[in-house]
Amino acid sequence: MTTILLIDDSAHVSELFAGAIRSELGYDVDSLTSPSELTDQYLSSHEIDVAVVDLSFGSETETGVDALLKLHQSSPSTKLTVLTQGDGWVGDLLRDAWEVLPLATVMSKSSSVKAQMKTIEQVVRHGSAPPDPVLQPLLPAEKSRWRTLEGFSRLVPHKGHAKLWAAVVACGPQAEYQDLAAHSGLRLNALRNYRAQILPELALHGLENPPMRDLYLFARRCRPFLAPFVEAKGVSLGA
Amino acid sequence: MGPARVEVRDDVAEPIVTKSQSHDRAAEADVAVALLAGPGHWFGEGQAVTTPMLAVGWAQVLSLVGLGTVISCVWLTVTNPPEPGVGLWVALTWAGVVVLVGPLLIGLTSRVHRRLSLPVSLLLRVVGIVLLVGMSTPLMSGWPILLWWPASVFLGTDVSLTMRALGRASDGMVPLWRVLLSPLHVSVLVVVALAALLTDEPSIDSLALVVAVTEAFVIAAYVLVYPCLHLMSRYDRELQAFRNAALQVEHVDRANWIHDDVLGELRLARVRVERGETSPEALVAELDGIEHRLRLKQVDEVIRTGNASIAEIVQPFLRMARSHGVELTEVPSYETGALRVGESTGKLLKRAFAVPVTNAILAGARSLSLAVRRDGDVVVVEVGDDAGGFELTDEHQGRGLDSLQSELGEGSVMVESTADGTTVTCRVGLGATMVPT
Repeated sequence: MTTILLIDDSAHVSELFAGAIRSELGYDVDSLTSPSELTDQYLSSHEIDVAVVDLSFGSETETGVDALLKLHQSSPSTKLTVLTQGDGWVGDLLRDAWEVLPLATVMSKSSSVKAQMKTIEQVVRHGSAPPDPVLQPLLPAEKSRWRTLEGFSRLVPHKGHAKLWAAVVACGPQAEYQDLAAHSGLRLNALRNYRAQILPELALHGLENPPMRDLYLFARRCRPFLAPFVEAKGVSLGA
Repeated sequence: MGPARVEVRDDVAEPIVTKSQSHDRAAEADVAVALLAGPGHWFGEGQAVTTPMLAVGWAQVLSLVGLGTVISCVWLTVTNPPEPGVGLWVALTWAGVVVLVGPLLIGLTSRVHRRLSLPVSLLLRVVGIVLLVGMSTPLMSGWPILLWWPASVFLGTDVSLTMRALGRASDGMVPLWRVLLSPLHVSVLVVVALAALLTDEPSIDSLALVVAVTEAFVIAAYVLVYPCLHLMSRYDRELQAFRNAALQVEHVDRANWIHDDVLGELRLARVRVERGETSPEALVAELDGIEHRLRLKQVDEVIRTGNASIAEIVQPFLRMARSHGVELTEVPSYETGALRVGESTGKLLKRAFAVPVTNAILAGARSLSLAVRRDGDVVVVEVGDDAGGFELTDEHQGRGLDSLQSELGEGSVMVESTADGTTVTCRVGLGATMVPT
């Protein structure tokens, strides 16, 4: 039996959608309302064929990218599908997921339920489906070959960079060198140097000499991708 | 009476150097090195250079130019008989000015992204300062001593700019006594005093004068730091207050809009359902209409930020076409969609999408192509449909295109009949409102 996993914070809509999939397509459907419910225990006890994941989860720390990454790392054969409104503020998150993870397709929440089910069926049968045209303007036609899961390691080549990222995340969008130095315990010029060293790599992610605020937003957005490399240096990236 | 109790207090225990104190001293030394490296070393490294920072920066540039001018004038006019190497002294003075001004200008204007390393920054600064001190010390007698005035302005603006760039502006001032007793200040004082002793006729009076003038110079610089930092933080506070006031107005507007428009429409739909006046299909269509109007309002809000992407502006019209069962055969690419535009261009682009797409849907189109490309300073929008063409004299369609034509300018809207429908091409100038991507 094909198993579909829905992860969306709107429980009522999710249940209605699950019911439609069960009755129309005959698939088994499980629903979660938060990426944090995707625990190791859950992942080891469930076999998911297709995961349909929303990207935005309001005030929660984790986003749909956390869920997609956990699913991909736990079970690479699971087909990953994004279901999103595609509003401006998730545009960058959608682009990250699209470029870094092997998404089977991207669906718009504004499409009809019938069209969404047709897309899910296509993913189950063929492994992928064309992205919804409504979301096409948010997706690069060609994925950048520099933006890969492993590629994020180049943003954390040394422990000092790990401390820099941890300080950027902890100190917030208004942080200045003084704050970062106080948090990381690094000298001012060491921080400046660590930042300068990763500027060419940041440019590959679309950040040209970014101000601290942009660096913070990038770190928050790409936290799931950065965290393993930061933690490998013995530094916690924080929540 | 019992024996007096002996209170053991931790805070009067024998002083020891704790790890925290050691860390504080290291941090102070770190800041001292950062201050010596100067604002040019720190500007453009992740912080925005605000208007008052620019003003203080330009004041620093002017003070350095003034200092170079005063020293040069004194060498050229006052020394009597003229020094044989006067040309060399003037050249060295301006070399000092240039190595101090250069990195500052680069930092203020953010023209160069690849920055100087700390050793190079320190070397340039020390060379510049030594040259200016060296060229001015022999002149420290009589009225030329006033050349310390621009030097004070240089030092005061320099310290305040670097502190602001590091984010120390709100920390408050370091007490004057700590500045006067700092190793750096004492060392400078000793060096200047020794230099004064090396003059032709050293005396207690000349030594006292040099020390007094140097102290006056340091105190003047110290006093200048306060208004500079105050100016910069006051600007930050005023900007924040302005933002808060704008946000309050926005919140009230939004609350009114939710009450008047959103809730009103939902209530109307509910009454219709309760009275059995609507079918499920009509209700879905009505909800689609409400969603579209909400989306348009959402886009208006994004456009008002003055930093909307074309992908955001086109979204409601792609959704509207889909909700009417229209197949989208072409949509803007990511590369075009990522282009960001200012408010006035955003409004015109929204109109350039709205009129042709609405016309196509009203005309019964089953498929729609919506292409966007950039042609220099113009964004070209092409909307093609298969609705079999339409009559320009039609009351609704013609009026929409007429008003679009008047909004975009003469010749900016072209209507072309195709084999199975119509293509409307609109040209929207990016103008000065273009926002870099």
